[in-house]
Amino acid sequence: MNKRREKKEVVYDMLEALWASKSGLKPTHLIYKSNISHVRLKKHIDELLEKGLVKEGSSDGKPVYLITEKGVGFLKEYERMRKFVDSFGI
Amino acid sequence: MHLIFSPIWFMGIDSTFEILSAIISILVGAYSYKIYRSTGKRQYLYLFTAFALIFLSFLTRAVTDIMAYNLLLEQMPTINTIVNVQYVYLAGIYFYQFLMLSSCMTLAALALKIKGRKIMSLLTFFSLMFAIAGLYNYSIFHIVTSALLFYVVLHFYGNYSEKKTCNALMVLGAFVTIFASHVIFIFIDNPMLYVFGHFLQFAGYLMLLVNLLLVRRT
Repeated sequence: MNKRREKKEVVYDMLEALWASKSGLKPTHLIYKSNISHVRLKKHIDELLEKGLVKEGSSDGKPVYLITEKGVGFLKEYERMRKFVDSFGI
Repeated sequence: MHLIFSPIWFMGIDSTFEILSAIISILVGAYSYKIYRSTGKRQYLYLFTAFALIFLSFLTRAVTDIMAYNLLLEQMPTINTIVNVQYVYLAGIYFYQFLMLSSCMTLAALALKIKGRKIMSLLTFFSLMFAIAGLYNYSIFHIVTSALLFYVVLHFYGNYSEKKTCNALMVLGAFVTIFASHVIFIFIDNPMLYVFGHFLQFAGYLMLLVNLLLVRRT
C-alpha cells in the first residue's frame, strides 16, 4: 500500500501535471493526473492561486488552471532539492 | 614527536587543498540548510551540521599549517621557534581532529539512523577523547575516522544500489575516495603517502562539488 503523500509532493505532482499540459488543465483532469480527491484539489489550488504559482484561465469556455512562471521556478527548485536529497538518501 | 609530515615542496599545496575542500563543504552544507528550511526535516539540519564541522575543521587545519610553515620556512628555526611551532601545531591539530571526528560521527549517526540527544552527547564525548588520543598517535585519529566513514560508505552504497542515479553514484564515489584517503593517512609517516592522501581527499570533495553542480544544473 502506498504511503500517503506529503503536501509538498501533492503540490509538486499538481504543478508537474499543469507544466506538462502547456494549455492548462480542467479541474477534473487535474484531479485525475495528480491523483487527488476533489476536496484536496480545492484546498491546494486555493493556496497555489494565492501564492501566484497557478492562474485561472479558460479553454472552450470552460475553466482551466495554468502554471505561472513562478510556479515553473518552484517546480525546478523542488526538482533540484529532490535530486540532492536522493543523492544522499538520508 | 613528529609534527610536520608534508615534504617541503608540498607545503602550501596541502593548505590550498584544505581551503578549497572547506569551501566545497560549506556549499554542500548551505544547500542542506536550504532544504531543512524548506522541508523542516531535521536530518538535513544534521547534514548541514556535519558539513559545517568539516568546513571548520579544514579551515583550522589550513590556518595551522600555514602558520607552522611560515614559522619554519621564513627564518632559521631556533629552539624557541620549534617550541612555538609545536604549540601552534598541537592546538590546531587537536581542534581539526575534534571537528572532523564530530562531523564523521554525525554522518555515521545519519547513515545508521541513530537518533537522540543522549547518544549524540556520547558521540561528542568520544570525539573529544579520540582527538586527545590522536595527539599522541595521528594514526588513531585516522583509524577511527576510517571506521566511521566505512559505515557512511555502506549507507551510500545501499542508496546507490536503490536509486541507480548519477548523483547517488557521485556521492558514493566521493565518500569512497575520502574514506580511502583516511586509510592512506594511517601511514602518515611516509611523505609520499601524505601527498597521495591529500590528492585523493581533494578528489573526493571535488566529486561532492560536481554532484552539487549537477543538482543545480537541473
